[in-house]
Amino acid sequence: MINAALTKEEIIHLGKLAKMSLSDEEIKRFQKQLTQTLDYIKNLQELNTENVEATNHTVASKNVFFEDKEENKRLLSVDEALSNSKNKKNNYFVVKRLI
Amino acid sequence: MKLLGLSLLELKNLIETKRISSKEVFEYFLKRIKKYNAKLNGYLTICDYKNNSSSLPIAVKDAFCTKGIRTTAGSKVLDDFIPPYESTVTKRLLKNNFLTLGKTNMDAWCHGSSTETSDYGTSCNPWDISRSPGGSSGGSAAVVASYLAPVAIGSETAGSIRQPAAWTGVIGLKPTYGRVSRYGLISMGSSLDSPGPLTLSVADAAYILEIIAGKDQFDGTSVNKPVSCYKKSLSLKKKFKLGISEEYFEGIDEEVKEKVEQSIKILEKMGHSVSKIKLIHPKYSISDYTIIQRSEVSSNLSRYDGIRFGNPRTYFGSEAKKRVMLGTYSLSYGYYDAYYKKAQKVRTLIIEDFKKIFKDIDAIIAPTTPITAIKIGKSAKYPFFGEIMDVLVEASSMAGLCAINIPVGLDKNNLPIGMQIVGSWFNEQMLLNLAYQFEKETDFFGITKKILKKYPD
Repeated sequence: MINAALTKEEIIHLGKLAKMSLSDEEIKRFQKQLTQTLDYIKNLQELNTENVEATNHTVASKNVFFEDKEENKRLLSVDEALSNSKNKKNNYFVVKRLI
Repeated sequence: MKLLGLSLLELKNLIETKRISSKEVFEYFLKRIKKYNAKLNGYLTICDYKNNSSSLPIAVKDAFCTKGIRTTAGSKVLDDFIPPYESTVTKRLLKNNFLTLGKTNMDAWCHGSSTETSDYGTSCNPWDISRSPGGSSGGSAAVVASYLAPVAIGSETAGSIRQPAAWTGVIGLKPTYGRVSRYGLISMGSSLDSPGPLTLSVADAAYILEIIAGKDQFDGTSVNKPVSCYKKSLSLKKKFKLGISEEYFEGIDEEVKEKVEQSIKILEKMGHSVSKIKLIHPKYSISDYTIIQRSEVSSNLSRYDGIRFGNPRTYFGSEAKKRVMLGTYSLSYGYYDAYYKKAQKVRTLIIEDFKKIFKDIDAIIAPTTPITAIKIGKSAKYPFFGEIMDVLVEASSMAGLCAINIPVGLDKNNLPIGMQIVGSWFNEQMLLNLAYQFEKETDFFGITKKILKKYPD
């Protein structure tokens, strides 16, 4: 595990990756708090996991599939799917220009 | 008719035998909500009563999507979100004649153990309104303890049912991961989240679990195992082998320790055997949980783009931001193996540890929380407040085990103390059976009734 003290730049970068806008106060606070957290969780290094498999599902479920031609009862109508959007046009969500 | 403190099953019986109408029962609770909710802030939304002669009232944590009823997850990001679909848990409840009384307050996105991170203000502990009811299902716990609902639905990632149940003196059941569908539950940690009931009686918890448990085709992680007749099997007078781990009593408040030890003696007297066990130290579970949960949070909260529903990401509160940032870090290139993968491996160690233990015993007994309810505003003093409050529940959550909190006493400040029974995977029947035996023996020391004196009709 990496011995890390997070820099201000790293915090700003993480904020960008996560699309979170951060105030100067938050940048300062998160730098301190996240470094503290990383410092705490280092204790996992004390446990040997060399030949241990990773757990994804606690009771080891197998892959789950729908049957072919099964009706998907989760489908929303167009109106339902758009019902919570604040910006829509001609049955589409309006998003910011990408290019 | 005096309804104060009646269990859900008692109310159900009165309605079915036509000694009272469903409408009268709803009016009764709505009146109590009007009288006390402003003080406790347990409900965020009160639902309209729809006339149906056999409806039963239930409160639902605001993390469950309820079709046509605002669902916020305690965050302003979803301030005006009206789900176009119903969660499986609430759908099953509706099918069984339940009607939602209201949606309960919670830590925003379930991030916290006090409800203080809710964007709609903290809920208060009915025992002492200057204190927190715990969290994240704090609103659900507060409304059940003060009888603003006979039962409530909560959800637990690690502690979010057990801990508020402990702090408010009610019963809180966290089922095995995969026992109850997560479909329509606003996700926090997808490999951890478990919906479950908070109630005033063990029989009510058994009844609710029977309704909400079972495989759901809409949740691929729900497990295809038959659902036991939890309620029917309550009266079996079985004797169990119980295990106690010293690590779970380290650094615990003296009064909490004393009351839990006293209750273990009662269980012994009732004919259950108690032996010492050794588990991986809970401090590792804090770290393991922190990595897994933050990683899953960062992934789950990425869907809130403000385009399809809800408000833009600028509406996220500080706690959510902090968690998403750490999760983004632990999942990012170069750190994934060191953090997330390592944590998943440690998770395997924790599971193996419990598997070994459950070969010899039926259940583990421990305090639910290290201390009783804290004053509102005090949680900010602890950098890992949630994790420290949940130190005794994280390992079992990481392993996906089932567990139940039951009230075992009051401390000198008249605040409830909770004890947890942790069972093996899909062994809810045993948990409920043991809790029921304890209830018959002690009536939970009158705790669930004592609080109602503070909240007369």
